[in-house]
Amino acid sequence: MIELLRSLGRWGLNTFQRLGRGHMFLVQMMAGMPSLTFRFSLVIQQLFYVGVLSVLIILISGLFVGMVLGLQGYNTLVDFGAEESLGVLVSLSLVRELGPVVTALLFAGRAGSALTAEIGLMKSTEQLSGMEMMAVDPMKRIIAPRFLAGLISMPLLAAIFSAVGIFGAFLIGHGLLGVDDGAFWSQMQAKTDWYEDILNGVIKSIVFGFVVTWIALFEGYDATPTSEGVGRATTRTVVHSAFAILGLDFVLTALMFGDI
Amino acid sequence: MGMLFQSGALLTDINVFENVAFPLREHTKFPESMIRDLVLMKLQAVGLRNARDMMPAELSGGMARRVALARAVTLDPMMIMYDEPFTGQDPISMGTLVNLIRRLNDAMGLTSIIVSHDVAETTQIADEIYLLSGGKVIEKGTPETLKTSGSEWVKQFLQGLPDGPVPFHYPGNDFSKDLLNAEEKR
Repeated sequence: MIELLRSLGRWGLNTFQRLGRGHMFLVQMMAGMPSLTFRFSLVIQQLFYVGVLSVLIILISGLFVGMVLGLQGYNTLVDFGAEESLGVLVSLSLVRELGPVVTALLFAGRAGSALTAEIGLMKSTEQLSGMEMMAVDPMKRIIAPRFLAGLISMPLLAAIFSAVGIFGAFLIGHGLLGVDDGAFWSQMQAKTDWYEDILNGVIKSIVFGFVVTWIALFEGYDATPTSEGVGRATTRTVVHSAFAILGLDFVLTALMFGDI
Repeated sequence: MGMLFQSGALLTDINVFENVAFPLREHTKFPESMIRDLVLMKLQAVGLRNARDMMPAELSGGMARRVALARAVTLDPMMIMYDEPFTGQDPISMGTLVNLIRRLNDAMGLTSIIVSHDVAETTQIADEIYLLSGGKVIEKGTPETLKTSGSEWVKQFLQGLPDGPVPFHYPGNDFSKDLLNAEEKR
């Protein structure tokens, strides 16, 4: 019993210490952001690694998710004779929910894990300490550009995901199942609101980008500098990011659409 | 102040030239032509001018440490700290590094602090040696003074003796007692 209480206490202390370190890390990261104004080339370089290299997985996933939505949506709507509302169903599902959420999950798996592994390896090979010895702050030179790149990339990737998804649903709905293309696009245009739907989706994707990139960078920076430590940190990035995305999605949806 | 890490700590995503140029780009606003000249001078000093386009992953351990040395002296520091610079080097690299450290020290008028377990190599080039154990200075002096020291600890360390003030066996239970204690599982 005592041992159980002791391990519970140890776990609690470790968790709170990590939370504290994570928030201190966030503060230091934010303090490093103004320096990027004069060195935006560092951010552009990271935009390529974090954003551009994630485009392929987003395109393919978005296309298939849209095609599945098109098929499933048609099968449900056709029972009510409302198959021409397929465009609305697909666009609202993607723009409000699936676009930001699935993109963030894919982003955590593709870019988040890569960021953690990169920073963790830089730490274990003393590259970060080496920079400090050259009076170069790793927070400004390494961490801040990657964070800003993640923050910029996520909403753009989510927008690409939603656009490709809608196109995939149109391919299936119009090309395979015979839904009228005029009805598909016009109903979508009429029922999808710029502020209510699209802007809220963009806000969600920015929040997810913030959280996923923060978790990924912190896990790498806080990793035990061994191969096992970096491996565990990479796993933690994906798991914690997934929990954070799904939990925050509920909170944001409730705030945006739940009339709370 | 410059520092040479045991691993070299080169940035793995940029080549040798950019690694040496890194401190200059971060701390100065020198024109590109001047940066090029300075980097080539430092690389020439460590004998790796023609390896400037190689990536850190393509370098041997000794070459990586020489590049790191070039990077450490790029900003002409007053002092350099070396963390185990001779560990894991083949005899040629070891000899090269030993000479380089002393030559750079004299040519640039540096103060060099070397942390090392390689007694023979360090005594070749050191002006003064401090022997540390358990966070305390056990003995200090010139290499000649230490070689003639009467301290058992110094003798054990300099001659690499397996037993002495630093025991071979990790302290704990007596061996005979351990053998007779059959009830204990391990």
